[in-house]
Amino acid sequence: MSVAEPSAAPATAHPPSTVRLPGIAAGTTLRFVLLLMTVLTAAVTMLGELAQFLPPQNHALACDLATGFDPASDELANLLRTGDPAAVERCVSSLPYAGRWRAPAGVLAVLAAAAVLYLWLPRWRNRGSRVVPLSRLDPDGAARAELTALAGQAGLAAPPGFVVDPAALARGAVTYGWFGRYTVRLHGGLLLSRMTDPETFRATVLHEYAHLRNRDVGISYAVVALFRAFAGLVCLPYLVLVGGSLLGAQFFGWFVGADEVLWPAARTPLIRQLVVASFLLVMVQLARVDILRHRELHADADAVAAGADVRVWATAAGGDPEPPRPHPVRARLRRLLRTHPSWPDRRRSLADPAPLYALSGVQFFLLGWAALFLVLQLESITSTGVACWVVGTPVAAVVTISVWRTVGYAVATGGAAPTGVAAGSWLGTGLVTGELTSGFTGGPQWFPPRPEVLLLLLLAAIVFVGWITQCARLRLASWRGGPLRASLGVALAAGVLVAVAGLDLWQRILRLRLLGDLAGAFGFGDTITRSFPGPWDAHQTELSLLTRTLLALAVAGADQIAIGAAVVLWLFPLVWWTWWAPRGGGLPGLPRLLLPGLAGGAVCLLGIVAVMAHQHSWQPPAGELRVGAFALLYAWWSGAAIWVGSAVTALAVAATARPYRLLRALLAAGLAQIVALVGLAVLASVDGCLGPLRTMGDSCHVLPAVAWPLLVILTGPALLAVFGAALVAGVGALLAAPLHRLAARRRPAPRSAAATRGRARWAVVAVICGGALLATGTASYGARTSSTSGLAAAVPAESTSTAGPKLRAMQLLMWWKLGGQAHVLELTSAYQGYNRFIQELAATRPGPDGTVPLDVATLRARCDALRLGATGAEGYLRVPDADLQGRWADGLATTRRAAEDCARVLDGPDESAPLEAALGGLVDAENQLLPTIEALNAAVSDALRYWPGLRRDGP
Amino acid sequence: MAATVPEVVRDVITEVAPHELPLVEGLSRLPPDRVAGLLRRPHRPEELGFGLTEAVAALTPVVWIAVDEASRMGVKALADGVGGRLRRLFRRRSRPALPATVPHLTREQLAAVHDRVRAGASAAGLDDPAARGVADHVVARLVLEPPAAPRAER
Repeated sequence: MSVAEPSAAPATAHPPSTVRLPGIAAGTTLRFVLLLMTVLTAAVTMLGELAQFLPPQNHALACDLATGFDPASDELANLLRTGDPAAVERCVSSLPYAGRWRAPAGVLAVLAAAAVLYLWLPRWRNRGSRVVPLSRLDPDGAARAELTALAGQAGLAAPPGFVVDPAALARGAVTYGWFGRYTVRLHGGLLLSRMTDPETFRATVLHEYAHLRNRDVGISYAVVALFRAFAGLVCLPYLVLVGGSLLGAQFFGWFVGADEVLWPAARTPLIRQLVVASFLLVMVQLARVDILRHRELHADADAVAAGADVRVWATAAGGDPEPPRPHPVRARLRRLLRTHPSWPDRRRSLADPAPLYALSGVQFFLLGWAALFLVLQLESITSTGVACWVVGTPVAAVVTISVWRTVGYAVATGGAAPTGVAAGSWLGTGLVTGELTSGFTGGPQWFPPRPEVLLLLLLAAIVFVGWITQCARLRLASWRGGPLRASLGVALAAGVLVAVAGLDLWQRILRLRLLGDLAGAFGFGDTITRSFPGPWDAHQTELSLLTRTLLALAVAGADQIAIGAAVVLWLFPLVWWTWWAPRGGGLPGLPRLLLPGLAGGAVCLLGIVAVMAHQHSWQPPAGELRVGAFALLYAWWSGAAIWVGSAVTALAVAATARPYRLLRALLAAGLAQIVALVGLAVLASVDGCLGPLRTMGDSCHVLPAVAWPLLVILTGPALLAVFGAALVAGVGALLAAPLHRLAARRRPAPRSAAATRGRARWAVVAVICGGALLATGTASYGARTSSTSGLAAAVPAESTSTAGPKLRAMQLLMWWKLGGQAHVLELTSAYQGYNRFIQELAATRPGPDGTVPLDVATLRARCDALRLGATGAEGYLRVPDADLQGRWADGLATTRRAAEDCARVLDGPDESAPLEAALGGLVDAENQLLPTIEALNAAVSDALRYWPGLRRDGP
Repeated sequence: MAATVPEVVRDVITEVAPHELPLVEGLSRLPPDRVAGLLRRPHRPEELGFGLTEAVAALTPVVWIAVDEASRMGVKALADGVGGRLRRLFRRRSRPALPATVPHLTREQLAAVHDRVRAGASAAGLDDPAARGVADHVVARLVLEPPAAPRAER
């Protein structure tokens, strides 16, 4: 019973058991894949942690300590103190690490165990002491004939193999096997019921056939096997080891995984590791049983569609009443953890299959949680960009497919279409939980310093799902039962791009805000005032705003994926609107869609005019170059005008327009930007002619070339304003929708699409698309030409250590052992070589002309050794002691300069007078460096008092 | 010629519930020593299976379990003595082994089998006369059997 003609489908009290959505699969396989990715990533991470469990092997920790890492301090302070993350990475990768193969080998072992379970389970179930081939019990072949007929009825090309478990008296069956070799095991009771209760027999067999047709048998067993291997080989040992280490350190003073030096600061991370691991186990289990339950309900629906008698389910539900519910929460939990839906649930699902066409809130939560967990783990293995693509693609695909199925079902049955708010909230909650459980987990705090930033994540998820939902409704409103594969493909591509861009922006920019004002802490304000000189004293408020925003805007504005996604966010609905609106669905016409955008563009331009008037008021005199602070503030304020104008437009449209609030708000905001950018280009080209608005020019000429640099800088960040507008529109729509629903009772339905003439409609849309593409091109040109590295090269502020003497001693020892000692030895031996050379030179008797023959090659080699020693030491980690580091850095710099002078003099044409100066310079440098080295030696000897155990490994 | 447990069950089921014969056929192909245990096992729903969890009302398990039990008890009674008691001390937990054929049963044992089958058949949904009829069939089949030569258990 399938409905192909939704307009003809009456919305009766008994919806059909299945609705045909051509080209939209259930997406179960995709969710399995996501589950697989989560389990594998978790295994890699947890086994990696186990492999590095013992402190001497924890090189990352050793390198962190060598840079001054203080486990009791917060993340931001540690980031500041460490200074150069690249140096830490070099430090970790330079260390020989015997356990590097352990985590991958462990994952391979888990996979092998899962494979063995997977291959062995069917054999075990098929063992001769339990089952008998059907052919032995069916001499006349009647049962076989009926099973074959049912296979044809269910749409199977060939029936599977059959065995009978004669000792099982329940009327059940189970399918298992792999690689197309499937077997259905009939219970003895079911075989008997072929005669006594043929409907139950047929329903059960058709249900198993539905699993075969849905191709979910092999993968279900794979998931069960993988989960068992993961739980037994990874999760359990992990919980035991970490838990044991925590208990040992807390109550008995044994330090296994928790190094004494890190205690008690390591307590929180250890507890968090335990919580995260348990949480992971629960999440994976929840995802697993939910997928298995969903698979059952699907098979029920397919079995009924293939001709099974629905009364079998009704009878079973009547005979198997749900257990009495003493406690609603407990009952709910039990329901959540069952791999099989209860019979009443099954019957409900057959009566109203809507839940089959939607993901549950739990699934959206898991999706969000897995997305962030995966990105954070994969990022450390690959790069942020790769991680976002690898994770964003399946997550967006699952969300999009689920939304399309829900909307498709609602359209086909005439039910109410979902808004996506509930699903989005679950997704967002999952994302927030993922960030909290596996995000910044270094410090002893439970929450990041600025947890309110997480609200952005929640809101973004709601807007994302809302956007996909409205796009799906836009398409499906005019659906008449035709194939949907192509439409879904386009929507998938758009959804993936937006999801990847969103993850990317969160990972690279927004989540850093959880730590607080990073740019300010790194002294980015000073970088701005140095790079853009000007009267900053009069613009302190603006400077603080710039410090907070400029770096993020510069990084995001150069992110071509983010820019592409920002444009797709509004251009894609516009094109679809133009394409599908005339085909029905009661959509408003194009003019009502575009006018708010034009008005918004005017608002943006008004803002830009105000900025120009303000800039004119403190314009540097004619003839002076208008660069530095003046130009920067002009560009920044213009961008701000576009951001604020777009946001206001989006908010206004989202609060008033109906239906498709979000899409129309985004359309208006996007159009407003394009209008504003075009207007800005015109205004800047004729800048000199504008009298009180003159900003850069002084005389009236049309100079598009003047506007170009401004546009190149501004277009990228300005296009990103759509993201801001989307969030604002989300808030507006969330607040306005309930109010409108109240008011809607007193108002007639909105007018339907006015028939705009086709050609004119497409011409307008083509112009808008052209503008948007031009802007994208400009932005990506800007992204390629402008280097943000100049802006990003922030100078870390010096900070004093708050660590106690014992920890500081450990930090210094780690610095010393991991490479400091080697560098000191290299430098001292280079100086010894140099000293020998000078002594030999002094001992050489002068020749007849009073000069000494100079062995240029040897001297050159001595100087090179010194230069290499100094540069190498400069590239190594900074001494985790502010005073020593200052002297050490000065000494190294002096040595390097003197050695470079030496080389320059030897290479140069004139080698008389400056040579003596250069050789003398090296002696001076040595005299400067040696006391520092002595001080270092003394400090290290002193530190060994606290940690005598570290002495035996080194001299 | 003494009969095995499956043979006795097949004879009874052919008389009282011929449609259950495929079940008897299937059970006869399993290791005889383990069948009654498998039949006694409570039903656990399988993780990836489907179907009605309640068992069908069938007589085969009732008869099979009763005959199986009776065979083991008959042997036990024969083996009781000093040696038997000593052996039982060590095999306290495990059931007596199933003899190759159904041994000769005493009157008391036959009465116990009758009660068991009657109760089981009632539980399987038969009314009292029918249940009594089934029990009579089983006992008759066991009595008809010429007594096997008392053999020591394997």
